[in-house]
Amino acid sequence: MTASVDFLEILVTSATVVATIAPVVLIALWVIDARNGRLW
Amino acid sequence: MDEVQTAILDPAIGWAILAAFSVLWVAIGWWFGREQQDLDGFMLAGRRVGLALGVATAMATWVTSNTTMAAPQLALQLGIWGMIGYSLGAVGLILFAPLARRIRALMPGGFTSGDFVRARYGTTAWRVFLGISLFYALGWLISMGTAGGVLIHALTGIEYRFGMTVIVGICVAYTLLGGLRAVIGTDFIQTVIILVGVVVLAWLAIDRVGFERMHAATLAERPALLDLLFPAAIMFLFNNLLFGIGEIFHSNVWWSRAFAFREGVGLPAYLIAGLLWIPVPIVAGFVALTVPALGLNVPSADMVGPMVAAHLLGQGGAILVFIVVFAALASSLDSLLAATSDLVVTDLYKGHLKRDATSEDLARAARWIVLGLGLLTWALCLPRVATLAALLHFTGAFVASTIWPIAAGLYWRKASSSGAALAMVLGTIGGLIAYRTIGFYVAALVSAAISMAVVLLMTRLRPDAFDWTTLSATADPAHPESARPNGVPS
Repeated sequence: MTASVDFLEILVTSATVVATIAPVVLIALWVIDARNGRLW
Repeated sequence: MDEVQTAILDPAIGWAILAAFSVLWVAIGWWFGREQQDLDGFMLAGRRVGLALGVATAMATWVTSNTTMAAPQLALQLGIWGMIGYSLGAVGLILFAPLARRIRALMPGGFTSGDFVRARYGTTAWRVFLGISLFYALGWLISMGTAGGVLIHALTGIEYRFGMTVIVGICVAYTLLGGLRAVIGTDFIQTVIILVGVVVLAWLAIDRVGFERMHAATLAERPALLDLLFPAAIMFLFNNLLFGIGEIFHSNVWWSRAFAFREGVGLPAYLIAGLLWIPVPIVAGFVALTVPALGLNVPSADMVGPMVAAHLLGQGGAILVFIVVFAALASSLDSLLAATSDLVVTDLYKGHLKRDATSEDLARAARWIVLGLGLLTWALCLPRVATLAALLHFTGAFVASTIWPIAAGLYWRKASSSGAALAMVLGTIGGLIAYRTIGFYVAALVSAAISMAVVLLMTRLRPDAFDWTTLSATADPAHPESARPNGVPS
């Protein structure tokens, strides 16, 4: 069974979108923690 | 072939990047760790690590040089399942999330995974566990140091021993200066760098090559890579899943973070880190599928990532990959160095050699042990004997044997102490036999299956009636002399 081009596109695009969001999530969490004095 | 033939950066540029980032990591490590001088501060960052740093450190530690360099290699060798199988390494992080919460609740003053095994199962299981854990940790340290030297050499042509010395030396330096706070602080920045790097490369590959062209060329030249029933790849998927769970459940790298995180942070931190980690091997790996479309001649499979980057972005792409790899190497090596040093301080030095050591003695010893471990790693890396892939395949048998004793020990009052020790021994032996007679891809699978059977059988035959309060009493922060790394069984 061969993966279709759609399968490949959905797999890779969704992974890349999540990975693109990931650093934004990390920085947002940092800002929230820093504001609440809970970084450390 | 000699990797220097594939070097895609000038050594002078390589040295400049190494120097700049070495100064950066040491400065950041010193800054974050400048106020942490006591034992809790040095080993566990004062036990107050927040969610942002918690998520980042879990992600950074699990993104090794293997993820960034071997994910494309696996995609080139095992195709789509290679990438998906690799991304299932995240399951270990996700499953550890509830365990982290329970570990923190049961042992608020605990220091290491060894603390738990000793208190829960007694001396025999503790020593078996320590053997497995230290063997694995040392092996991983050596393989990371070796990988550092090899990758720096492959990317820039800088001689192996110089590259290896830089990466090991830098990690030792900032871990010594700032302990776990330095490790976690640098992990945050390293995670952001790694993610931005792999994402930039991925979007460029999608934009310049496109899925239609990528799919058509791969189908024409290497159709097996798109085969969803590729047997070796499916076996790899399950083996990698179990290896990841075993590694995370047993290793003090993850336990020390469970102790270091602020109350209530462990569960969300590991959960978010796992969910955000899932796409990383796919994003880092799929660029290998552009090779047929780009018509690249890849002389060595592990160089596919940098070669695609250099093809798409020129020298800038090669520099980007080099920075990502350097960040990935440092983020794993420093964590391993700190966590292994904790295990040596607590379970070997205090547990076996100097049982009356005070907290001050241990804080001093911790620094000497970080330095000693760094020197040992450096010396063992010099001959360049181990590769990360070989180690991961071999140690799957060891780490998978600990999954059931750890999980059952944390949740099941009746889980048998003698069963735990026996499960780790027989699981490891069985896994190694499978490794030798069948193949690397079943070692973890067989080990975990035997270990589970032994835990269940022995608990049926010789059940414990464990009192959970024993754990908090062993590691009660209100009574430091009984809680801190002592608690050696009488």
